[in-house]
Amino acid sequence: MLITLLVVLLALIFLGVPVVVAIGSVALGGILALPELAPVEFPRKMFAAVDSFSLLALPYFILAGELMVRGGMSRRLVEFAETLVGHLRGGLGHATVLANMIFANVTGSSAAATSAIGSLMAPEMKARGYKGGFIASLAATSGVIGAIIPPSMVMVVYGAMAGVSIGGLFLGGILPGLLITGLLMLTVHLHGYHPNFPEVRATSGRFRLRHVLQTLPRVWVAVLAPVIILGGIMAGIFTATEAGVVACFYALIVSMFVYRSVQLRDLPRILLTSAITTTVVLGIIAVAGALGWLLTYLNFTEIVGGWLLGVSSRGWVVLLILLAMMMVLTMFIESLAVLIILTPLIVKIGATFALDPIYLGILMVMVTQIGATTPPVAVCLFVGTSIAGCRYDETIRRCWPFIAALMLALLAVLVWPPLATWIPHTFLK
Amino acid sequence: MTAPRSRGVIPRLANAVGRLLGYADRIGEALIVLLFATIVLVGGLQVICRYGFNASLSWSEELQRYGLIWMVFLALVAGYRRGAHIGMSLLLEKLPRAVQVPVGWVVDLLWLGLGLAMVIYTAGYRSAAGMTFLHSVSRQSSAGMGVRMDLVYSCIVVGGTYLTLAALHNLLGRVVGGPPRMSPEEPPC
Repeated sequence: MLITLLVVLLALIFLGVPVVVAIGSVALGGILALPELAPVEFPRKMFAAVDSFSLLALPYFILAGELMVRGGMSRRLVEFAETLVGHLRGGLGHATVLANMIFANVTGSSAAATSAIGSLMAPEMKARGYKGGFIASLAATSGVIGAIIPPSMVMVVYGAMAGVSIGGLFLGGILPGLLITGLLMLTVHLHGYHPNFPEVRATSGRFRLRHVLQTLPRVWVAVLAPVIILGGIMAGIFTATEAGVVACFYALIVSMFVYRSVQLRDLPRILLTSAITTTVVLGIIAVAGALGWLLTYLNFTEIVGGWLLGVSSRGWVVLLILLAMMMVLTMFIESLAVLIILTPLIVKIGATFALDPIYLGILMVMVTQIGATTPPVAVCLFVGTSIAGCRYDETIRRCWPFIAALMLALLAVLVWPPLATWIPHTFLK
Repeated sequence: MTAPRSRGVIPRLANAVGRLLGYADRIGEALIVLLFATIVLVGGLQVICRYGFNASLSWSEELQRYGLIWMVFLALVAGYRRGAHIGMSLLLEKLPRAVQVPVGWVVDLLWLGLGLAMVIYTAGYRSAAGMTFLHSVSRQSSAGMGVRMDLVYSCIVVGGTYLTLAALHNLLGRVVGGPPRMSPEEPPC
C-alpha cells in the first residue's frame, strides 16, 4: 500500500500534475482504499494542517514583499548596489548578488527574488556582453539568498510543521545568508580570471562616495526593514507572525507615502495576488496534512526512519545520508513538496541524535533551496533562464560553479553549527 | 472563456456553468480580498493592543487563523483558475500532444474529484452515528470568539463547491473546444 501510494504520487508529479492535486488525490485515494479509515478525515486533516498561528507569517511576509516590489524597491536597490560595487571587476555580477542580499530582507522566496532582481540586472548584463547562461545561473543562485536571509517562506513552513521557533530559524539564517553572498561574489570574481569570460573583467566607472550617498536615501527603507523585523524578534518583542504584520504596515506606508507608487485602488489586486501566492504553498500544506496523516497510519516515518537509523549509529552519517537524500529528491521533485512530506522524518532523526532543531532546520532549508537551483528540475533556474532569454542547456552548462558555491556554504554550516545557531542562541533565550 | 455558440446539450451546459462560474469568481475574489484585508488589520490591532496598551485581545488570534483558512480554501480555486499551482511542466512539454491532452483531462478530473470529496465528506457523508461532519461539530463553538464551528468548517464546503464548478467548466470546455487557456504565474519558492 505504502509503495503503491508513493509510486502513484511520483508518477503524477512527473507527469506535470500540479503538486497540490497529486498529493491531494493520493491522500484521498489512500484514505478511501482503506475501509478502516473514516473519509471524513480527509477534509478534517486538510483544515487542521492550515489551522496554525505560525503559518500566518506566510501571507503577511508575502504581502509585505509584494507591496515592496510594486512600490519599486527592487529598482532602487539595484541602482544602489551598482554604486557600491559597480567599479569592481565583474561589477554588474557583484551588484546582482549584493542587491539580492539587501532584497532578501523584504522577500522570503528565492524565485521571487530571482525574478525581481534578475529581471532588472539581466538587460544590463546582456548589453555588456555577459553570457546568457551565466546571467541565468547568477540570478537564480543569488536569488537563493532571498530564502535564507529572513524573512523566509520555507523557514515559516518548516518551523510551523516541525514545531521549531520560526524566529529562531530566521535569526539562524543570517550568517549562512551572508556566507552565500560572499561565496557567490567570490565565484563571480574567479570567473574574471577565466579566458572565456573577458566581459567579467570589465568594470563600470569609478567608485564615488557621492553617488552612494545620493542613492542611499532612496533605499534606506529597505535597509531599515530588517532593523524592525529582526530587531523585534531578537529583542523578544515580536513573534515571527507579528513581525510579518508589522512588515505589512511598514511596506504599505513606504510604498504609498514614501515612494508614492502604490495607490489605494491598487490594493485589491495586490491582496489577491498575494493571497494566491500564499495559497499555492498553503494548499500543498493542507493536502499534505491529509497525506501525512495517512503515511503516519501506514508507519512511513518508522519504516524509512528505521532503515536510515539502521545504516549507522553515528549521527553525522545518518545526517549526511538524509541531506544527500533530500538533495537528490529536490533535484527532481518540487523542493517544497519534498520538505513538507519529509518533515516528520527529519524531526524524528533530529530527536534520535539530539541535534539542535535550529541547526537541523537551517540545513534542511539550505538543502531544499540548493535543490531548487540544481538541474534538471530547478524552479529558480527556470525563472533565471526565462529572464536571461537563453536556452536551458546554456544555463545548465554555466550553473555548476555557482551551485558549488552554494554547496560550500552548506558544507560550512554542516561542519560548523555555530554559523546557524550562534545568533539565535545568543538572542533568543 | 466563452464557449462557441452552437446547439446541443453540452455546449449549452458549458455556457450555463461558465456564467455561474463568472459570478462565483467575482464573489470569490471579493471575499479573498476582504478576508486578507481583515486579517492584516486585525493582526495590526493585536500588535497595537499588546504593545501599545499592554492588553491582549482574546479573539484576534483566532479570527486571523480562521480568516486565513477561509481565504486559503477560496484562493485554492482562484489559483486553479489562473493556472498558478506549481507543477513540473518540464517533462510534459517535451512529450507529444497525444500525451499532453490526456494528462490535461486527468488533471481536471482529479481537481473535480477533490472538489466533490471536499463537499461530500464534509456535508453529505454520514458517519456510523448518522451525522455529517458539519452536523457533528455544530454544537461546538470556538474558544476565542464563540463562533459555531460548523460555520468555520463550512469553508471546505464553499471552497469545494467552487472548485467543483471550476473543474466542471474546464472539463466541459475540453469537450466543446480544446483545453482551456490559462496564464501561468510565478512559482512561489
